[in-house]
Amino acid sequence: MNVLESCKEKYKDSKQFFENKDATLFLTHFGELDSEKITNLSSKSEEHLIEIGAAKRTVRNIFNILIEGLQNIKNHGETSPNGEQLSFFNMGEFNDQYLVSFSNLISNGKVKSVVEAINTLNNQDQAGVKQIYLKTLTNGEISEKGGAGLGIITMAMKSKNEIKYQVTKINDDLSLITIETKIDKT
Amino acid sequence: MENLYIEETKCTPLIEGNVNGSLSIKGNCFPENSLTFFEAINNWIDALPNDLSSFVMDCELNYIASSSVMHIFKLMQKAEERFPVDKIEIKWKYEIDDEDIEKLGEEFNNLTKSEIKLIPVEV
Repeated sequence: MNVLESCKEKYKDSKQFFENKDATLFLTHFGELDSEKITNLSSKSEEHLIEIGAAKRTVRNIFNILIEGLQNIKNHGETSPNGEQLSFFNMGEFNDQYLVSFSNLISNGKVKSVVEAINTLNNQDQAGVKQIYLKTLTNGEISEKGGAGLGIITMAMKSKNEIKYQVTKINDDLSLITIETKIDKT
Repeated sequence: MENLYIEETKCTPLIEGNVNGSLSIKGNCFPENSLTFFEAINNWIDALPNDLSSFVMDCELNYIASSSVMHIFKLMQKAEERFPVDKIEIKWKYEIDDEDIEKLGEEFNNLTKSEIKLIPVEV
């Protein structure tokens, strides 16, 4: 199975997950992302959440999570051997939570540091996450792609829940990483 | 030196800078590349004359990406490098029930030497 087929298979599984859990998948995307798609997906999610009566604060938090997660894919997602920055994203509703998941290719050499960063956040309470956020903000380092290293921290702050992740090795060079955030309805 | 004007888009704010010493940032702020977007604003502040009677920064942001948060903070730090703190006025406007943007203003206030005026706005 090549990289594209592997990603498509995982995407199919990820959508099936919502069905199996009797959840509503209301926004999904497979493929490459650009700035316009990121803005459109975020706006669609906002419109839908307002339509179903989600709390204003929840709408804002999810919009922010989407921006961080989708920009993270665009700025850091690895490309397939064909040069495609394959990724997918799902957003759905459970009884008491919204779930937003982001999946992108990552080089195997980077998996350890990303997983460690997520684990560090998950081991903190909200005050601890805030401290890491402030420390990163005042360090003031911005990459060439315009990233400040605050994306995943912001996602943790906005979701207020543990960030789950899953890494699936695709070949000797690449894995697929899925980052999952949950946002309580109340 | 000229005034600065950058048109608002869905993902970038309206930027209006006046050479008399005011800078207004209003709207959403999640540009595709924050480094590129803020470069023009940084350069514009760098070119302002040293002897301004005041420098007023007026921020009214809606959705803001984390990388832009850092850039806005850097703009505040740059203003403090360029001008005496008692000549700097920073207004931080937030939608009245937007606690996150309000808290962000409070954090900036704790991190900068200048006093940041937090101003709730009815929408």
